[in-house]
Amino acid sequence: MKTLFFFVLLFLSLLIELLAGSLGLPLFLSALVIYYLALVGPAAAAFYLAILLGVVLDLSYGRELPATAVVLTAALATGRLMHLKAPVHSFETALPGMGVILTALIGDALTNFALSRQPESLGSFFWKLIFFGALGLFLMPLLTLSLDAVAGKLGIPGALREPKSTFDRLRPRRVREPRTRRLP
Amino acid sequence: MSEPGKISDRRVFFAASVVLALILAFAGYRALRRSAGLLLGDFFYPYLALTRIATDQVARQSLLLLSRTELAAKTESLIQENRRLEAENRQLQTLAAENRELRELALLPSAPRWRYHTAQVLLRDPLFWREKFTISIAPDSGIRPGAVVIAPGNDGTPSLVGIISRTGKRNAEVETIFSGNLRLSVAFPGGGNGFLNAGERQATPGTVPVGYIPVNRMAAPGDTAVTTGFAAGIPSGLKVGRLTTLDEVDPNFSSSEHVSGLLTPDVDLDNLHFVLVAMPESAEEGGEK
Repeated sequence: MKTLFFFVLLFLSLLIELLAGSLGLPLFLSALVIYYLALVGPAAAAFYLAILLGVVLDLSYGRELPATAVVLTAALATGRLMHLKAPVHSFETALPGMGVILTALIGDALTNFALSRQPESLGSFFWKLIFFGALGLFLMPLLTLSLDAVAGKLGIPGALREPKSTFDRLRPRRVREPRTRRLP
Repeated sequence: MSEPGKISDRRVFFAASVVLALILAFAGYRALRRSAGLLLGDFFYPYLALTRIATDQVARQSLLLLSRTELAAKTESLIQENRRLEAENRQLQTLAAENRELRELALLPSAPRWRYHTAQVLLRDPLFWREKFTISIAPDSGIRPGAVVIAPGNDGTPSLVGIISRTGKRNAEVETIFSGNLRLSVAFPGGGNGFLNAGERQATPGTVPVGYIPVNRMAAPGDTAVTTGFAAGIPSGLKVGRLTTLDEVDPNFSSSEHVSGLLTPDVDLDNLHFVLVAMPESAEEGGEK
């Protein structure tokens, strides 16, 4: 069930990405979905899925090189580095979401600059960075909440973990006793 | 208890496996790009076409919002437009028949005849927005790689958009004149020729470099570039764009034989929804055979 849920999510994100791309909108939904899958399932599997999704996306667009596979892997790595622990609240995914989108945006811009004969201007790229960075900040918590709700209905554990009990959080750290010097 | 260094070893192995997977994906991509790309294009066709169908349906339904008098006025203007086009078409058919007859009398080979297929833009790549796009084609259209793609230009006359680079069962990929892979000869009114995407100039946003324009038969900025018809499958005299920039060289003081310039395409590629694919009739018959 979990595997099926993963693949349906990937397929839908790919389709929405293609439709948004046709309107000239780089939505980066697939990058966010891959990050969500890394939170729900094993992170290693998410890295391999990122490569697979990137290759399929590049093949669909008929690109010369599978640049998206590298971009998605880098975006996922950024998200993981920004937040290594399992999130307890949806807001904890906001910053990694922004990191994921910004990495994907920079990766896409580098690809565009290296391979395209009609590269994007630096001014529009700057505004894109601000807009899509802010979008990632809001989109990732929303995506986590909505996908967790769907996963919960399917009986799959979501990305958000149960918060630790108050006792666990407030328990004082053990303080090592100072060693007593032996008297000569 | 875990051994020292075991976790870091695992991380290194994992990073190495991801890099290896990326290399394998790259190799597989390069090897299977053509066939797998077409297969995926056909696979995604119904889903991508669905949105187009929905958009068309909404556009059709919006016609119902018009009043009867508005609809009657639109129908009347369309009838008048059709009559005018019919008259022009008849005149052109007479001219074509006369041209055929004259060619036969002068023992010249007959001029190629073209068949046009309409196609809708199905998918566009946001990273290479102006350089390539995918169109939907009918399975029995006989469209093949190398066919020319045209669209109405700024003044409504048919202008070159690009050529078909790959075809699937229901979709085809178009490489536009902005793509560096499309090198095509163009002609200027003064008798000079040039090559698209060649020469010493670098493309700027919205322009295409044109190179190898002879110095002695120089074109001037503002000249309209048209296709020469030297390339197979591309009719001659098709509008390409307007020359906006040209190197200034005095032939008396320079040894260079060619100059380069920049050309602004006639078609607005940012807002393209429908295109025409032209196929020579003989090629279509050959394809059917």
